Amino acid sequence: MTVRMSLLGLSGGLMLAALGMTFLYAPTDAVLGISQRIFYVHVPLALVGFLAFAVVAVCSIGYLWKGSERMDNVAYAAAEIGVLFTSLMLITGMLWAKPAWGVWWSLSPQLTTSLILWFLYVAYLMLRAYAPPGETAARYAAVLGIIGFIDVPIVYMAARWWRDLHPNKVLGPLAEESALEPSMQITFLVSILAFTALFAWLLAERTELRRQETQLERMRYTYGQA
Amino acid sequence: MARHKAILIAALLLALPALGAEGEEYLPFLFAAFAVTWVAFFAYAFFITRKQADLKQEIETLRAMQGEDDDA
Amino acid sequence: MDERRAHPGASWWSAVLAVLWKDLLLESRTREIVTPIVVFSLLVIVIFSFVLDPNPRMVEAVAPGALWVAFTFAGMLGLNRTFALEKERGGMEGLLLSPVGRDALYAGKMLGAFLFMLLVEAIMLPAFSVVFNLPLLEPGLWLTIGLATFGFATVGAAFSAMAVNTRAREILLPVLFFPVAAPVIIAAAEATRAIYAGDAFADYGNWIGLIAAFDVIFAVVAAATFEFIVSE
Repeated sequence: MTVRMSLLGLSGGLMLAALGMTFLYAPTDAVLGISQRIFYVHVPLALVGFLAFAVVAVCSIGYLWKGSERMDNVAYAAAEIGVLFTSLMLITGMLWAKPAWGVWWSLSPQLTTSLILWFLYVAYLMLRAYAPPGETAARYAAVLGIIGFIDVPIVYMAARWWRDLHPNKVLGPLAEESALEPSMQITFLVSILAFTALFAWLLAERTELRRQETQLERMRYTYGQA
Repeated sequence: MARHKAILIAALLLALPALGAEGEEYLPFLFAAFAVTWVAFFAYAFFITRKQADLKQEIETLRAMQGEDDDA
Repeated sequence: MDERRAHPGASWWSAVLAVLWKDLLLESRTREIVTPIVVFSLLVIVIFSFVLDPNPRMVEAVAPGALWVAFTFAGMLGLNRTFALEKERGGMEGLLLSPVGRDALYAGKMLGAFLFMLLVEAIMLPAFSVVFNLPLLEPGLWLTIGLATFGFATVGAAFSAMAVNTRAREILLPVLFFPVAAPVIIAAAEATRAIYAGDAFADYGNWIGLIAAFDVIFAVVAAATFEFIVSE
């Protein structure tokens, strides 16, 4: 309980700091203008979303290795939060792209990879929902968690070559990005830390909820048997 | 490519004056991005914590019922 | 099982071939996979010929995509049937009780799915080439199809073994399969585009390499994790 409370406090404090720095400390980008500030949520969402899927893969291996239910609970929670973060990353990315590129969407390598990643972990959650409950769903999901994560670099490579063959009409300014100003770097760093702390807190809470869910399922079953 | 350059130059021109007059038309996008993110976070956190409380209650009820059955 | 693990080789391959032979024999008697899928696939090609403008520039632009859409949909139907008979007739218990390692079981089922898909594609490709007036005798194209289909079979057989035990299995299999197989579909369509445009192997060799890497990686990963899918 205290661990989760302190994580909440930490993420809350860091989030406020990140928000303040985003609007008051970081300078307006000379090239990209005011909407560049979207990056202070967009980039951390992308990084932490990816971190969440890495957690899914590690816990999936751990689950298949040791068979500990806790590992499975963490994997489930991380997948759900990863889908949330990735969804928000796609939405904030589109909100940045519309004014900057003039389109909501383009098939750049990052976008293609993110979209496929999103579908992959939505499929992961669907598999868990439709598989026979209990241990079977956990095993199936662990296998998908491993296969999916190994697939990510291959998807990225395919998307990259693909774009190279079909030059986009709306190449992002991000492609010719130069070194960031120090104040921007610090703001990015604080934002990333804040989102990581928020992820840790949500992960702890969602894992606890998942534990309760499985416990309740088991109790209902044994009560039904009695 | 030409369009992209035009947008870049336009953004550059707009960014020249300090924060305020510049990029007014982008503000709704900036606002929307932050609003969507924060609403989603709060909604998710609210959903998790409320469901935790619900399930805790249900587990205790079930436990009590099982206890009664064992006594009988 | 441990004893078999210690002596891979001849006995391992004979187990794989036994599983594969079982599937081929069953298919030759029931004809529940290849025949209906071939008819379905020919219909897909006919529908493409209806909806796509047959002028050569249009064909050049959309034919590679159309070919791989047709192949993936046909492959999906075949993969859906990979474990369907085991499920319907309780054959899975028999397979699990038989003295065959899980990885050999996977390899046999995967090769069976691969051969069925390849057979269907061997009939679809000439039909497609005739309808859209495209070259057929292209070894590069055959190589692409062979490697990509193998890639489909590696992850497809593993997902098929899962999906068969789920609710909504017919729809869940493509939902699981397409995101993971996306790089193979992209790479195969791009290689096909280069081949139809008459490019040299050097121009599309990197796509072939990507598909081959996918094949090797997922054949190993799926074989290693298959015991967790079928341990009931």
